[in-house]
Amino acid sequence: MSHRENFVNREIALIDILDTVLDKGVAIKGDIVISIAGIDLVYLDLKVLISSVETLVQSAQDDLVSSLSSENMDREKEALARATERS
Amino acid sequence: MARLLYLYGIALKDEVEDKEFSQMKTIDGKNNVEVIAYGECAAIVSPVEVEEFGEEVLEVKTNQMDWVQEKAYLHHEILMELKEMATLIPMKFCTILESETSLEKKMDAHETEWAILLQKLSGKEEWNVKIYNHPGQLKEQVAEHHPDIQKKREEISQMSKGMQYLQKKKLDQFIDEQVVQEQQSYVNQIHRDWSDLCEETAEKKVWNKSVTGKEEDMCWNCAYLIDKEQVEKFLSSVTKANEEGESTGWHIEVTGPWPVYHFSTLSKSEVE
Repeated sequence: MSHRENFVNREIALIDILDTVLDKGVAIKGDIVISIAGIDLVYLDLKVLISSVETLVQSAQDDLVSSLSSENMDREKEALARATERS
Repeated sequence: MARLLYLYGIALKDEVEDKEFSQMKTIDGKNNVEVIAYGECAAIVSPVEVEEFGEEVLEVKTNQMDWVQEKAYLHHEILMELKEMATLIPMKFCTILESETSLEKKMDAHETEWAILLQKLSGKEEWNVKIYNHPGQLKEQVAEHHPDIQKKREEISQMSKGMQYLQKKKLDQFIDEQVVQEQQSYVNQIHRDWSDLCEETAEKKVWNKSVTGKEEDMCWNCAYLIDKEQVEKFLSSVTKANEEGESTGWHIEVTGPWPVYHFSTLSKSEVE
């Protein structure tokens, strides 16, 4: 198996996607209705994040976000829960 | 109903002209993707309604994390699909234009620059690397093998109990600092090796443990722009580093290929 096959399309953490699409990509000024100024995830309230992850798990079950496996969401939810317990 | 345009990205007209987009998902799940050509480039958009994506509505919705997560994920998913079809300059989440006229104005101003950028990005991929380290092994290594530490230990053993306590604390701190140094030099070395295989690199902020939820330290977070021909070599180097570093607590995570989010900035960081 090539290395590429081994790595390609591995599941990406939701937080990684958020960090990138909210912060990177080309930003166009003017004429834009709204541009979300880089939301810094590091400073986001983790509790808010957890509750919204829970919402997403729910919607994944409702097939709303069918491609996000609930197993993956559960894992992330656990990780976030651990993080808040510690803080 | 007033119509806004949600802009996903810019591609070369030649690459998208004869492609079929009607089956694709869109950000609102209602309207279809449209391709608006201008000069050599084409904007990939889908109409959205003011009631859902207007300025005032978005100000409220972007504070609802569940909405942001669902839509940002969808944005990413759509861009992933588009990138399979053509070389793409990806737009930031919620890049919305007021009308076709304002889109044309943007295209007019930047079409040449975008076309050059697209040619440069053609055949390249963005890969993202995160390097984690469980400091246990490095700590042990430093504590046992660092010459200064052996010497300090002997000195401490000659001291009074109170002094010993203080000096031991200091020594622990010193060990931690050495571990961080070790981590940094490992990361620097490996990044240098990888950079040789890449067109460009973009260092990202490392996340603290409350964000990663991991026991390991995140020591490196970086995006790499790599020519497709070099990707296999790059990934093989990552695999090798993962195998070699395992015993000293290293773990490398690679994801990709991503839309080229980190390498689409123009000469000016923002398009005026």
